[in-house]
Parts: sequence; C-alpha cells; structure tokens
Amino acid sequence: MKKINYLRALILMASIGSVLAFTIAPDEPKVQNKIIGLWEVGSGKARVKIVSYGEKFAGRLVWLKEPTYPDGTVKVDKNNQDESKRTVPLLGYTNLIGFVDKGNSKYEEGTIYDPENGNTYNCVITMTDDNTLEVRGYIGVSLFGRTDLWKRVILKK
Amino acid sequence: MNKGIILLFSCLFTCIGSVLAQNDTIKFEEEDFSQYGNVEATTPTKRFCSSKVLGLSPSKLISLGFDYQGSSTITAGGFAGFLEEDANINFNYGKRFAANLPVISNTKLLLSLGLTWWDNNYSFKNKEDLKNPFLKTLNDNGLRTTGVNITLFKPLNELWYVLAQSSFDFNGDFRANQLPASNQLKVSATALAGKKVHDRRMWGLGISRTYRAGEQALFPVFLYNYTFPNKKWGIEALLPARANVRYTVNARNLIFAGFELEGNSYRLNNLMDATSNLPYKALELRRSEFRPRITYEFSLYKFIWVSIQVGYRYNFRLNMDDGEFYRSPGNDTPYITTNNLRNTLYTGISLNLVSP
Repeated sequence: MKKINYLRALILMASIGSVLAFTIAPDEPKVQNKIIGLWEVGSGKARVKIVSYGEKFAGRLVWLKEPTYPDGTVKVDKNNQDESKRTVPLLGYTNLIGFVDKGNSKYEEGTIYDPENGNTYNCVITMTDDNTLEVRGYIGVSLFGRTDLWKRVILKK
Repeated sequence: MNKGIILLFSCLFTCIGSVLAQNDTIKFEEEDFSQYGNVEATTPTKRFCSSKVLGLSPSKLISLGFDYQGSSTITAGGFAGFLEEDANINFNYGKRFAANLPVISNTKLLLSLGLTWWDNNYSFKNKEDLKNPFLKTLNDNGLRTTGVNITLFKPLNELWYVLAQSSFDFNGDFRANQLPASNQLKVSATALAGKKVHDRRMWGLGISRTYRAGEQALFPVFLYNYTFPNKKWGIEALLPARANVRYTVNARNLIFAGFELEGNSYRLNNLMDATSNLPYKALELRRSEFRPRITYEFSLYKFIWVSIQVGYRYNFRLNMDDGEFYRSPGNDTPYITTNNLRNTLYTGISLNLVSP
C-alpha cells in the first residue's frame, strides 16, 4: 500500500514538474527585446536583421542595394584579413555580434564588422526610440569613432 | 613633448588591442533573402550624404611623423646693414604631430577638433661662421608651428553639403621649450559648398584665407574626390593645397602620386630680440614650398597605418616682410629681404591612427 502511495506521489510530482517546465522554462523571452528586427543602415544601402542568441544579440546582412559586382558575380568579403573568408558572400554575413542588453536602451560589448575595409570595431548601440538605432563603431575609446543612424523597416504584407 | 607622444601611442596600441575578439558562433536559420527587398519604413527617413567617397584613403585621427630634407644651399639676402651670405645646409629635419578628434560624428554632422605641432630644424655646415642673423636664427631656433583647428562637415541632404575649416596657429622661431607669443598667431579659414554626385564622386567649391603661399592670401578652393568604376584608381584633391592620384593595391595598401603646397608666415621674435636696433616693427618670414611626391600608405596593424613619402622640395618663397599685412593685388610693398633656398629631395615617414 505504501509502495502504491509513493508511486502516486512520484507521478503527481512529475506531472506538476512537467507543467511548470512548460510554463516557465522556454528560452523565448516573454516580451521580445525591442532591438530584434530588421534595420536599414544610414546610407540605405544595406539591411541588417538583428536576432538574439542566448543572452546576446547579433545581426547579419540580409539585403544589399548592390548585391553583385558590375560583372554580375555575387559580392564577397574580399577585404577580410582572414584570407580563407574572402570568398564568403556578403549577403548573409554576420556583421554584428556579442551585444548585451545593458538596460536604458543600450547594447554594449559587441563588435561591428565593416566589409569595405575588413576591419572590426568595438560597437555600442543605443536605441533612441522604438524605430531608431544609433550604432557607434569605435577604436578602443568611444571618442575615436563614428555613429550611424539605423531605421527600423518591416516586411510589406 | 616626445614622452607625451610615446605615451599617447602606447595607449592607442593598448586601445586597439582591446577591440574585442568575438569568438561567439551563431547559427542563423536558412531563409530566403529576397523577401527583405520588399520592405516599408516605420518612420519617414531623411538621408544625408557622407563626407567620403568609396575607396577614399582613411582619414588620420592621430599622426606622428618625421620630415627629412636633403642637403642644399641658401643665400640669405642682406638687410639692415647685414651682408648677403651664402651657406650650406647639411639637412633639414622636423617632427610632425597632428591630432584630429571627431567630437561629433554622426550622419547629420561631423565636427572635429585638431591639434598640430610641426617643426623644421636647420643643420648648417660651419654654423659657427654664420654672420647673417636670419641664418643664425634658423640654426639656433628653427621654425615652429603649433595650434588648434576645427572642421565642420554638414550634409544638407543626400546630395549637397557644406564644409568649413578654421585653424589658429602660432608660427615663429620660438624654441621647442619656449611658449609662442600672441603676435605669432595666424588664422586661416576655408568654407566651401559641394555636391556628392554619387558614391564615388564628390566635389566642392569655396574660398580660403590661407598662408600656404607664405603670406596671407585669398584663394578659390576646389575639392574633388573621385574613385574610378574599377575601384583601383582615384583622385583626391583640394586645390590649390594638394592633389593626389591614388592607386589602391588593396584595402590596406595605397600608393599616391601628387603634390602639396606647404607654407606659412612666421613671426621671428627671437631674431628681433637677438639683433638690436633693427629699423622694423616686426620680422615676418614668408615661407612656401611646392612638394611633388610619391606616397605609400599601408596598414601596419589594424588601425595603425604607416605613410612613407619621397619627393622634391621646391622652394617657392622664403622672403621677409616688416610685420604682418595683406599684400593685396596692386600692393607692391617690397620685401625687407629675399632669400634663395635651393631645391632638394625630401622624405617623410609617419605613424597614424586612422578613422573608422
């Protein structure tokens, strides 16, 4: 009899555990972080999709105004300092990585990659409103840097 | 000064080394990129042209350089009872430090503050035999320039922009350990408006109050930056100050052929003090050099670039005036004295921190 009660208690606990696990354990945050989405860079020549991975955020180039060279071949990361990456297509390239939400609409500790010169810069992103990002790439200290304004865009239905 | 510069570059290397190495890996899901071509803006967007064209050489945030000019001769004109004198110069040399810090740098405005320190020292043969006081001050003190400058680039829209630049420099024969005097201050300014025709071409037209020809002058200025469609060749010009044809070996190696018109007006207070009873208000040296040259610039390590220059120093003007004034067209006030500096080869090297 005792053995049956023990079994029932175990089943009950396992059931409660499963329900709780499904209720509070998913990786997806309850409210999606506002930085996640599709952004157009200041020049209007590229669009970057920002996503989360773990506790961090990254972005990749998903659209280029000029995705090919004049001869029709696909643009690649030809200026990368790592020779093995110079044939990687720019479309789909991860150009933002490592950003941590520090609160107050600031995302820090990340880097931004500039395919035009093959350099990676420290970067701080500030969300000035729901649809605008101030993306500042800099060298070492923020003074040696440049800020670009990115605007949120959405897919047409 | 030297220790400060070494410390500064040490800090910069440390800063550059601190650019985070991101070892994160992220696996994006497969998706159809063509969908991202069909989007709509969430807010109205006004775009502005940038201050650069594609392929333009990187701008220098901090630059530390050394200039060396080969042997030459000089004939110093006679003045105030001193006789004309010929002298041989072993070489000229000088440090060149410049910082250009972007205080505001965003898509709507670029405002930068700069600092400059240049010196030009003269090493004479038989310097103990020099009699002409002008040659003595060149030997004992050299010529120096230090000052601040401010540059503003304001895009008006996607096509048009205005650019203004002003510098406040002390020029004179003050020594490196001497503070310059207020009467050695010279102000230069440039204003221009222009158009960024497309990603590879921009031009501008304006006016400049400058000392590049040695004395105060008003020049029309023409800015032209262009990169040819093959992205290998380009032109970088701000006439009449400088112009270069650029060949891009790759994003980290650039070769230039061109010229620079380099000049200033120097108040020679030490010469005035050392020579009693001169019948002048002040001595103002009008120096200008035309320098055709070839330059090779390359990335040494990340954002640290090296620039190596070889060229010819053609002396355009090295004359002395009685005090500072504007020699307007039609004003034929004679110089106190004219000096003839012969031309020679020169070379320069600089270490630079370049901008993102």
